[in-house]
Amino acid sequence: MTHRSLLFAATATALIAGNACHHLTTKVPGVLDMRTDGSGAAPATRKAGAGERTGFDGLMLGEGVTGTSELKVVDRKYWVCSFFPIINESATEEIQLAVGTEALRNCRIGQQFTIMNWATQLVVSMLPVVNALGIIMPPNDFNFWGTPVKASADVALPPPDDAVAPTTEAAPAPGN
Amino acid sequence: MTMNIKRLGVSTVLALAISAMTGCYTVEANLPGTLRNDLKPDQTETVGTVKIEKGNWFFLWGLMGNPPPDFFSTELKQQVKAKGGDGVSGLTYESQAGCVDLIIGAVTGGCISPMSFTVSGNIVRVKAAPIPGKSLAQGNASASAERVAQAY
Repeated sequence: MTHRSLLFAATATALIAGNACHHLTTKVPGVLDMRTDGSGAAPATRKAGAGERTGFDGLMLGEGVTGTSELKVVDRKYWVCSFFPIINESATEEIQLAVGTEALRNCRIGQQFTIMNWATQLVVSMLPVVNALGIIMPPNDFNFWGTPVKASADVALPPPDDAVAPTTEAAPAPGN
Repeated sequence: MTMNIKRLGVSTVLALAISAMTGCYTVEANLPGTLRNDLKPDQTETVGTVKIEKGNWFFLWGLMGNPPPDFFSTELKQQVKAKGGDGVSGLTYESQAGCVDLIIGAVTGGCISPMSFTVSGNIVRVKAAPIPGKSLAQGNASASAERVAQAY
């Protein structure tokens, strides 16, 4: 083995050991208020189709924000050589669109490798220029779910049961 | 012999169909509470940080071994409660397949594929009324109400 080969092998090993594959990072906007589950809040209305991606964009970047009563955020991620994220790196803006200026309850976070990811990889691998060396690895979907509710207490519906956290109405006025 | 090959073929097609319908390497973890975007910066006070690092083992090319719904939520609630907070701001979700994970996946041909997950953020006290609903921790909510009352 030549000196150059050894250097290449050492560099590759260091790169693999120092980094991780399919590294997915998503910053969730807003504050996760863990005092109540929000089940007594009024549902928030949301404009249908806002933030949704369709057609080629939806196929390549994920469907974006879909649903009305329960929202689902789908953001498709890609990496070069499995190490470097490219295209559509963050799902923060999609979650921001979903939550708006109100709140989401029953939130779930996660990811999935779907049949669409597999199909996308298959198509991309057939493009001679885009993926000449097969360096773009299978994409992966980041997912976020939530039910939109009003954040302001003055429009709240009656709570579903007696286990309800106190609101500001219960707080004593200053000087009392 | 021919029957066995046919059965194997049918099983493979069924496995592929199931994977097509459900997806592989699925994570769907609950986040406790409500995600609020109505709070102003002066309505929260940072009291610490939270970091949860977990690993999960997927099997059969990710068809099995999905993490449970409370993968993060139990520890998240415990850590927030331990520091007297009401919630988490700047929540960050990370997932990756590390060096050892890749080696295990390669050696087993994808039959066993570990992955690492991290959830981090700032633990905050919220100086605003909670969104109406079922209390996640009665004692914690009462303490929050007292702080809200003091703020007014």
